[in-house]
Amino acid sequence: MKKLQGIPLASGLAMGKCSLIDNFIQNISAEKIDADDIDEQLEKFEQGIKKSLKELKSLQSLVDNNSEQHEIIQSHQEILKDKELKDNIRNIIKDELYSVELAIHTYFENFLKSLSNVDDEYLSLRKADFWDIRNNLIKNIQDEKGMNIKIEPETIAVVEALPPSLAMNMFNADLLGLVVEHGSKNSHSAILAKSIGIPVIYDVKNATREVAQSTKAIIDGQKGTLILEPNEKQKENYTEQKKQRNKQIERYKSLAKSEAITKDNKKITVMANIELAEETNKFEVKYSDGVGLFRTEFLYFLENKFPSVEKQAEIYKRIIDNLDKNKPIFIRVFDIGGDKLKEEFGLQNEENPNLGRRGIRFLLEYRDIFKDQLKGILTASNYGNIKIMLPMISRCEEVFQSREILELAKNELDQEGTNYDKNIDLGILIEVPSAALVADKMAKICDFFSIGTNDLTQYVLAADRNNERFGEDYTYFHRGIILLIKNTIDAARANNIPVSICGEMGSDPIAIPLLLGMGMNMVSINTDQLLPIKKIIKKYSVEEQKQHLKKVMENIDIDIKEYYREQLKQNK
Amino acid sequence: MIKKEIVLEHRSGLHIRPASMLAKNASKYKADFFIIKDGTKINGKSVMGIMMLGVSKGTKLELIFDGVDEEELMKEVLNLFENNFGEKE
Repeated sequence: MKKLQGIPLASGLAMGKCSLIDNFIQNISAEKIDADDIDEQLEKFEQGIKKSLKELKSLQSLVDNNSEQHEIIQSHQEILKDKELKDNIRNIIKDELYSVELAIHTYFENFLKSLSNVDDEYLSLRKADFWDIRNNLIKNIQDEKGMNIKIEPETIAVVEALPPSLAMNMFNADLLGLVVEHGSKNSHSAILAKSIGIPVIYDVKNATREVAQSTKAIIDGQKGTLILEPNEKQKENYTEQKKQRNKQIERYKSLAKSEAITKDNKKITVMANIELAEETNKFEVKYSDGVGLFRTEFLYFLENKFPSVEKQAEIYKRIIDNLDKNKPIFIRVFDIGGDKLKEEFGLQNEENPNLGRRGIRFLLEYRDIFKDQLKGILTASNYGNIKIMLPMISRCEEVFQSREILELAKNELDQEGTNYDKNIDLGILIEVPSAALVADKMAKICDFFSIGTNDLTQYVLAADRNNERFGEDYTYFHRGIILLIKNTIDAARANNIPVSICGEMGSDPIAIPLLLGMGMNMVSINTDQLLPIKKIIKKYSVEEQKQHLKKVMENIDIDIKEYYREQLKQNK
Repeated sequence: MIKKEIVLEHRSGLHIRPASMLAKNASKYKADFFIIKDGTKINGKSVMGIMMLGVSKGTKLELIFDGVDEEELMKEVLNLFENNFGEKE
C-alpha cells in the first residue's frame, strides 16, 4: 500500500487498474545532432517560442482580466521572453549538439533541480507552471505525427504531463480516472480535464515512477489522493464510501432530472452555459433543459485558428448527441473583439475595444469566418434543435445583413447537397442598450432573444465590469437595468418569441426572484449553479414576485439587492 | 553604482508572479540590475534567474543597480518590494 497526494481537480471516486500513458516527453531522442543542423534547430526554437507566446496570448484574452489565471498566463509569457532562458537553451544546442527538444528538456530539468533545493512550500508548488511551459513549448516544436497515443479504457490513466492535445484524447476514452504528475490547475488543459466527467488529480509527485503498469489503485478526486495497492481495509472503506457517494449522486441526479416548477406551478426552462462540447457529459448539463449558450470562442484553440466547416459541424453535433435530441442548443457565433482574441485579428489598436469592432461588427467584416461558422451550424442542424445567436447586436440592419449571409451559407450547402434545418431559428443577444430599447422592433425580425446581463450592465451603467474599484456598486440590481430587461421580456411576449436570460444574473440566487417577477421563464446558467438555482426556483411564486417587483420599483428608498438578499435568507 | 540591502517580507516568497513582475519592470531601464543571495549573483531582469535564487520570506538580499538610470530603477524596484508586489497579505 502506498498513498500519493495531489491537488484535487475534479471530484469522483473510482477503483481499478492504472495505465501509464506513454508520454511524448519520453519520445525525445537522446541522439546528438550534426553541427550542420544547429541553425535549423535554433530556427525551430524561435518558431516554438513564437507559437507558444501566441497561444498564451489568445488564451489570456479569454479568461477574466482580474483572475489569478490571467496573471499566471502573463508570467508564463514573461518566462518565454526571458533572455537568459533563451540564451541558455541556444547554448545547449550549440555546445552539446542537442536537438532543440532535448535542449529544452535539459534546461528545465536543471532549473527544476536547482529549485528543489529551496524548501519553501509555495515555491515548489509553482514547479507545475514550469512543467506546463516546458511541455507546451516542446509540443509546439514537435511534429503532430509523434502524438499518436493509445489509451486503455476502464483504467486510471497516469500521465507525466497533460498538454491540451492529450487532454482532448481523454474525452470519450472511457477512463475511470486521471492522474497528472506535473501540471498547474490554472492551465488550459486543467480546464479541459475538469470537464471530462471523471475524477482527476493534479500535481501528484512521482506518480509515473510509482505506478508500474497495471497497479491497482483507488483515486479520490475530492481529496486528491491516489492509493496504490490498497489493503483490505481500504478496499472496504472504498466500497462503503462509493455506496454513499453513489447515493448522493443519485440525489443530485434526481434533482437534475426534476423540472424547475415554481410554487404557483409555472415551469421555468433551465439551460446550461457551456464553453466546450465535452461539458455536456456532465449529468447536470445532460439532464438540463438544453444548452442556452454555447460560447464558441474556445474552438479557436483546437488548431489555433477557427476550425473548418466539417470540424465545427462535428463539434456541434457532439452536443446534440449528448443531449436529448429535441432539447434546444443556442450557439452564439464567435464573439471576437473587446478583450477576446483581439491581437489575432489586428484589433489591438482600438482605443476602446469594448466599444469597438466586436461581436457582430467583427463578423460582418470577416464574412468568410462568419459564413463558415453558419455552414457548420447548419450542417449540424440536420440532427437536432440548433439555433443561431448573434452577439452585440445594436441595430436592426445587423440582423438583416446576418440573414443575408445565412442565405449565402444555405445556398452553398444546397449546391453541395448537404441537408440542414431549413427553418433554423436566428435570434440575438440583447446586451447593447439600444437593442433593449427597440426590443419591440427587434422582436419582429428575430426568432428569439437572450439577454446577456453582463455586457448590458456594463454598457448601461458605463462601468467596466473588470474594474475592481467598482466592486458591488455597479450591478444589475439597478432600476435602469430592470426596466430594460422587463421591456425586452414584454416585447418578446407580445411578439410570441422565446426570451431567456444568459448572463451572470441568471446564475445569481439573489436575482432569481427578481427575474421571476419580471416574467422570466427561461434561463441559462453556469454549470456549477444549475442544481442550486433549480432548487431556488422551486421556492418562489411568480405571482408573488410580480407584487414584490412592483413594490421595489415604486419605492426609490428600497435597496433592491438588500431586499432580495433578505428574501433569499427567509426562503433558506 | 548603488547597493542596497533588503529583507523580503512577501508572505509567499518571490514566486512566479512577483518574479516576473520584478523582471519585467526592471527591464524597462537601461541600468544593470543584479540580485545577490548567499553569494549567488543573478541578473534581476531575468525571471528564471530570480526563480532560481529561491527567495522565500525573510531572505536577505543585496540589490545592485548600475547604469545611467540607476536611481529610477532603484526607486521602482524598492517600490515593488515595499508594496508586496501588489498582493494583499
